[in-house]
Formats: sequence, C-alpha cells, structure tokens
Amino acid sequence: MGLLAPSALLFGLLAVPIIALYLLRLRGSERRVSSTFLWRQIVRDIEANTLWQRLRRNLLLFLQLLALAALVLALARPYFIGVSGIQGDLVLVLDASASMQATDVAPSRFAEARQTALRLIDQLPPANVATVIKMGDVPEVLVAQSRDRGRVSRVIAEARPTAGGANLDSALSLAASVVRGERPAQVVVLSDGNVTSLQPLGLLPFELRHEPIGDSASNAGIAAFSTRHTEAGTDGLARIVNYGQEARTISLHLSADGSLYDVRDFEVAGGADRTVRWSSLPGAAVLELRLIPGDTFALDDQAWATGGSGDKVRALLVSEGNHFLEKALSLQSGIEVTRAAPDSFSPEGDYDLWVFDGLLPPVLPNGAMLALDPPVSAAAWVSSAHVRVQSTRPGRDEMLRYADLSNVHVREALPLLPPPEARVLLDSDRGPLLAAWEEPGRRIVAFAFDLHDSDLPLQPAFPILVQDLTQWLLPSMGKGPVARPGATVEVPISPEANAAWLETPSGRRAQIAPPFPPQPFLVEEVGPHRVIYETSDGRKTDYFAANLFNPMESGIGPSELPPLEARQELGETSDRVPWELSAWLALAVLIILGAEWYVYSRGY
Amino acid sequence: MARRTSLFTPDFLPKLEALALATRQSLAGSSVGPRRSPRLGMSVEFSDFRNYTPGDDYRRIDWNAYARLERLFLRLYRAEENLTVSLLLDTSRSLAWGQPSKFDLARQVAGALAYVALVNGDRVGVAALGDDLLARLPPVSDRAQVWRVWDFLEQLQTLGGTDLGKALSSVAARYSRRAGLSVLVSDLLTDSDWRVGLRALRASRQEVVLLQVLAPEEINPEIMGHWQLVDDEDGSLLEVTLTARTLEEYRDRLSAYTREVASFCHGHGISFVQLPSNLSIEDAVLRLLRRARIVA
Repeated sequence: MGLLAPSALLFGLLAVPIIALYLLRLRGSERRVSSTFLWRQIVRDIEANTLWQRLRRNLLLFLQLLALAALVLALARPYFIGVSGIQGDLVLVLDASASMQATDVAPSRFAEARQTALRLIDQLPPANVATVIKMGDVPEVLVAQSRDRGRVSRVIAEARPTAGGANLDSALSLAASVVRGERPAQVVVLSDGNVTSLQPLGLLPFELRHEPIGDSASNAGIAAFSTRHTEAGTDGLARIVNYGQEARTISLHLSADGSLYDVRDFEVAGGADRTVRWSSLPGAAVLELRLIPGDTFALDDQAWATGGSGDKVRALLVSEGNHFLEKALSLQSGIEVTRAAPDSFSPEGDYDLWVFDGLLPPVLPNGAMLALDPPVSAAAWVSSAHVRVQSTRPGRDEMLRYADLSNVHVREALPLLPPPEARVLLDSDRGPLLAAWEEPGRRIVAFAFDLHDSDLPLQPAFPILVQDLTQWLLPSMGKGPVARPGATVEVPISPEANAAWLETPSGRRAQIAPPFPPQPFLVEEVGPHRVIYETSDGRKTDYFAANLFNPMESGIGPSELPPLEARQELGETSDRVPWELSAWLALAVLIILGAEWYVYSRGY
Repeated sequence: MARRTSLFTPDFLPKLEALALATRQSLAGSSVGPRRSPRLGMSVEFSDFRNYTPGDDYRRIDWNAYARLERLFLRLYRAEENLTVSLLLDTSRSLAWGQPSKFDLARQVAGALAYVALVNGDRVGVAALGDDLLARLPPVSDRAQVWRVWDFLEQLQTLGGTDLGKALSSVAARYSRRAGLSVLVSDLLTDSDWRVGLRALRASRQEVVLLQVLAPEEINPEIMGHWQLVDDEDGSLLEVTLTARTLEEYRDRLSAYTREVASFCHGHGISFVQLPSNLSIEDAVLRLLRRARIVA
C-alpha cells in the first residue's frame, strides 16, 4: 500500500475551516419570539437524551469530515500491489468464426469467449489500454487502445459471431499494427483453435497467449450438397461427414420447397463420411437437406441447393457448321440447342440465347447473344479490317477463374471495339479478341476471330470457357452462384431487371439494384437467399444458397493455435502490478455526500 | 350612539344585543337585577311556602292561606339580582404578537362581553394583569357606562412580563364574598403558576371563563434553521436548531399543554376556549363563545 501523490494529503487541512464553519453555524442569529416558554420545554426534552442528541448534532460534521477524508485520499492516489495475469497493454482477439457458434459450452463458445474477455478486462491494471479485435475472414478492430473499461466491455458484449472462418494471420498482423511495439503488450486469442494460419508472421511485438474455448469435437455435418440437371431429370448428391470420434446414427431429411420428399437413415462411423445420391428429384426452387438429430454445431446440420425447376433454356446456333462450338454447347445440360444455317435464319422465334457464328443480323433479336467471327463492320463494335495477331494475353477477370487462356494462339482476327465498361477476357497486340458487356436488355459476348483460326477450341479450357460464358449470358439458367459465408458473391440478376432486392434467410431485405450491375454482396448467413427482381413482365424470384461446407469450421474439436515461428517474450516481468484506489474513493465521496444530503433533509 | 370605538365596527354591536352571558350556576349579585338569584327574596316571582317561625317578616305571611287553613305560612319569592362580571386581561408583552395581534382580539372579546353584560343589566369591571394587578376599572352597571369600559380597554398597553398567579390572587383578594363571573383572557405562555390564581378566583366564589389567545405562528411555527430565540418578555435566550422534527415536537408539546390546561379547567369547573388571534371578533364571539355556552 502506498500513495502516488502524498502531497495531496495537505488538502486534509480543509478540515479546519469545515470545523470552524460548523462552530460558527452553531451560533445562530437572534430571533425574537413572543415567549420561549414552550421552546424551553422542547429543549428540555431533547436534552433528556443529550448523548444521542450530541451524536445527531454532530452527524453532519462527521459525514462532511468523512467525505473530505475520502476526497483527500483519492487525490493522494493510494494504491496497493496486486497480482494480475496481464502484463502491459491487452489485445483481445475474439474468434468470431462459425465454429464459435457451437454450443458444447453453454450457452455457446462465442458467449464463453465474451465472458472470458470481460473477465480479462476486469483484471487489466487501470493504467493499461485494451484493444479488441474480432477475428473473422477479415479481422475487425472493435475498439482500439482504450482506457474506457465501460466502452470496451460494451463492445465485447455487443460482438456477434459470423458464419465464416477465422484468419489468424490477418488478426495478428492487425494486432501488431495496433500495438506497434511502443509499450509492452499481451495478445490473448480467445479461440477454439480452428483458424487459418498459412504463413509465419515473423517477430511479433507482443506476447501471445491462447485462451482455449470449447471442449467437444463431436459433430456431424453436411460437407457438400449439389444438384445437376440431366436428360433424366435432376440428380442430387450430398456428403455427410462425422467429424467426431464416435459413430453417429443419422437421419437425413430432404425437403423440396418446404415439403418433405425423402428420408435416409444410416450410420456414419467416427471420422468417416458417407455419400448420398438422389435421382429424378422434383422440380423445386429450393431443396433443403437437414440432419436429424441436430448437434452442438447447428450451422452444418442444414444445407440448401437451388436450381430452378430444371427447365432448359433455348439457344439458336446460326452457323455454317462449327463442330467445336456445337460440342461445347451441347455439353451443357441446361441448354437445348437448335441449329440453323445462315440462309434459313430468321429473327423470329423465342430463344434465350442467340449464337451467331460468321454472321451478324443487322437488327439483333431480343435475348442474350454470343457472336463469333462477325463480318467486317457488321456492328459498331466490329473493326473494319482483319489483322494478323502476334500475341495474346488473358484478361484479369473472375470469369476466367477456371479457364486458363494464357497460351492461346490466334492467326487472324477482326479486333473488337467494345464499350469502355466491357470485360476483356482475351486481349492481343492488335486489340481485344474476346469481350463481354451489357447493353440495355441483353448481354453480349463476342469472339473477334473464327475458332478455326485459333488453337483455343483444342485447349482443355475451351468447354469450361463456353460454360462460364453461357452462365454469365444466361444468369437465370445456372444454379446461382456458389455462396459461402464470409465471402462476397456476385448476385445473378437478369439483364431485363429494372430493380432487384435480396432477402437473406433471416428475412432481412435490401435493395441491391439499381445501380447496375449490383455491388458484390457479402454473405453473412447460411441458407437460401432470395433474389427478387422486377422486369417489364412483372416480378420474378431467383434463389441462391449459401452453405457452410467448411471442414475447418465443421471440425469443431478444440485445438491449439498453429505454432507461430517467432514470438517475442516479455522476459522476466513481474505479475505484481499497482492497483489504484482513487476511483473507488471518488465513488465513496459521492455516496457520503448523498448520505449527508439525506441526513440533512431528514432534519437530523 | 354618536361615539365610535376602535374595538368594533358599528354593525357588530346590534348582533350582540340578543346575547346574554350564560353562567353555569345562578349567581347572586349585590344589587337587584334581571338575573335569578339562588337566594330567595323580595321580588315578584313566587317560589315556595314555608311555615312561619317567630322573627319572620310578618308582611310576607300569606293571609289567604291562613284563612283557608288556619295556619301561618310565609310566601317565598325568588330574588332577581344583577351579576358582576370581571374582565381580566393579560397585558404582558407576549400578547402583542400575532398578525393581527393577540391583544387586539383579547380587547375586542373583552369589549364585546362587557357590552353583552351591561345590556343585560350586569355590572362590569376590568383589570389589567401583568406581573401583578396593573390597572383596574371598578365595576360599572349602567349600559351607558360601556364607554368607560371601552376607553379603558383602548388605553391599555402591553408591557412587562406575566405572573398570573400573583396577579389573579391580587384580583381575588379584592372580591367581596359575593359570587360573580370572571373572564380571564391570556395566552398562558408563562412560567408563572396560573393554576394558583385560578384556584384563588374559584375560592372567591367566581365562576371562571378562561380564554386562551394564541397567534398562528405560535400554533404552527414555520421557522427553520439554527436560531437564538429571544423571549420578548424577559429577554432570555434559547439556542435551538429548528428542523421539521423539532417543529413537530413543538406542536406535540403545545397540544400536550393545551390538554393540560383543559384538564385543569374541567377539574375546577372552569370554561376554557382557545382562540387563534387571526380569528375575527364575530367568529370568536358569535361562533366559538356561543358554542362553548359562554354567551347564549
């Protein structure tokens, strides 16, 4: 016990004027009354209890002196040496990944982490600052270097877990940038250990401690669920994984648009998985797979697949004959391709996709268009002369995620003059060779060359490229984007849409367009997301599903953090820290002053 | 009545005309008056017969009865005599307090009772009491003499302390042995033993009415804080811290004192009425004194 500012004790001399004032106050001013006859009798009564009366009379003085004593002590900043588990500043890294929603510790791992965090904040010596980082796919600083314990506690209490992963590397990098090594700091990671950590971080400017959360690895979940349209109908495929050690008896319920369609009962051994198939599934907007009974981790006990009704889109291929293109289009189960010779072409007909190979009608029919080798100056975006192409290079585009166009050779082309906002998928020394863009009411993809003048159709990427292009051209054809919690997704919207809204599984609805194209949407929930868009024909609805499908998160077994290559130790630091009492004494002053007011108002 | 008094408004007096002092027992005065005397005597109101005994006034023998019965009977008549009303005013300094002052109401009540008495043919005397009998107006009996009473009352002033025991004893010593009515108007805020004085009055065959006049600030004081209270009569100091609690204790103390006075009065056959000084004279006389059967 000691005083940080002992000179403040001199304020104790204020007791002298208080007592003097009190004595002065006792000498009341004169007041004439008709007779003191009755007053004298009261005073006699009072004096019958002299001791008590003296006590009561002095109670106010006593309280005032007590308040002064507490105030002077508070100013003198008394402290005692206490033991704290925390040395230096504190950085709390709260794992907010999906696995933290497991309920193997009541009420949940995340709630447990929050409680631990609040406990650590309570132990933090008053002079030190606290930082709270929420560790998701992208780490987020909730509060930085704050001495305001109330604010820090409130931020911790309000933190919510995500359905995504936990990126330890990013979180620790962020922690390092917050701490900056100016003061000794300790980083406490409150996590079940299911984190992503890919690269060594180098020397960390703080001491790292892991507070393990969670105690059970028992979990079975749906690791994959997808559907595929075939000639025979829609097929379904699911993979169930038992992440725990003990065998689980599982009942798998498949519902189509809310109606139970099939139930499969089976047992999955510990650590094993099981694949389940369905064929000829009913046409449904949303297929839901549910694992019964549920377990302590609910996020992977359900999975959804969307895919429309299975109706095929219609495409017209107008070509003199293009074996490669026909083959690539026919590989796609959702498209029904009709072939027509250029001579017999008529813009009549109700097609979703028009494929023009070697020609381009002067008036474009309604619908998406894939144009190959257009005639010279057939449109504003076609150049007027064929050129020889020396080299090509692929564009940097999401559409080329699975198609490698880095080694494509083209002999001759009619370079494109696409609008500025067009996505150039294949560029060359003479201009763009493959581009995709939107015009009012339609999407267009144009090849600037004859496929036969290139080695592109011979490359393995070609059928994938055609599939990706047709899916982009016909957003309503596909099964929607593959959405994963914590990641952004491009919401597929029909080009005919005037406005669009997105409704999350929890019912939260937000307008996503206009403006077009919609901003990428950050998926935060698992479940079917409803896309509602308005066209001139009325309102239409599409779905895309967001599923966990994350073995890292589903394997909820608590584990140690991955070993970090370098870690700075604080060295020989003492865990004995001074705890100041000033705040409590200030509180005591307030309470005593309140008591004095009460005593005075009650007339003692 | 051409003269005016500062004690009342002119329209108040007619309301007093119909009133008379109601005494608890018939009181005999020294002269013939309209009040019924307990002594049988020479007046027109027949009361009873009794046998003649030698020495009786033969003029009072009922000769008609003798003619019928041949025995001598004496006719007895109830004597009608007047009453002496003594108005005893406490004129100590404490009476000057109150708004309007207690002394104003005391003089008004005394003046009104004097008028009621004189209108009914009674005799009225006034005495000013302080630490002794300070001044005195000998009894007057004529209605026209009411001005003397009022003038006397108007020129009285409040000064000095109070010793009701001594002053009342002095008054009692001056009474003849004839019964009468004494009305004491005081605030009774005194250490002196008023009980001795009241007992002396009763011993002098006086029917006693005690009117205690208190100022509103004495009944319900509202001062708070720390004070040195100065007694206006003797200048003594009293240091008090007045809080809600002590004011409550004061009110309790006043109630207890009032009960004590009332209990003493009841035990000695004394009528007791407490009058707040902010009461109008009409309310005091026509309502409170009438309700207490002091006037009827």
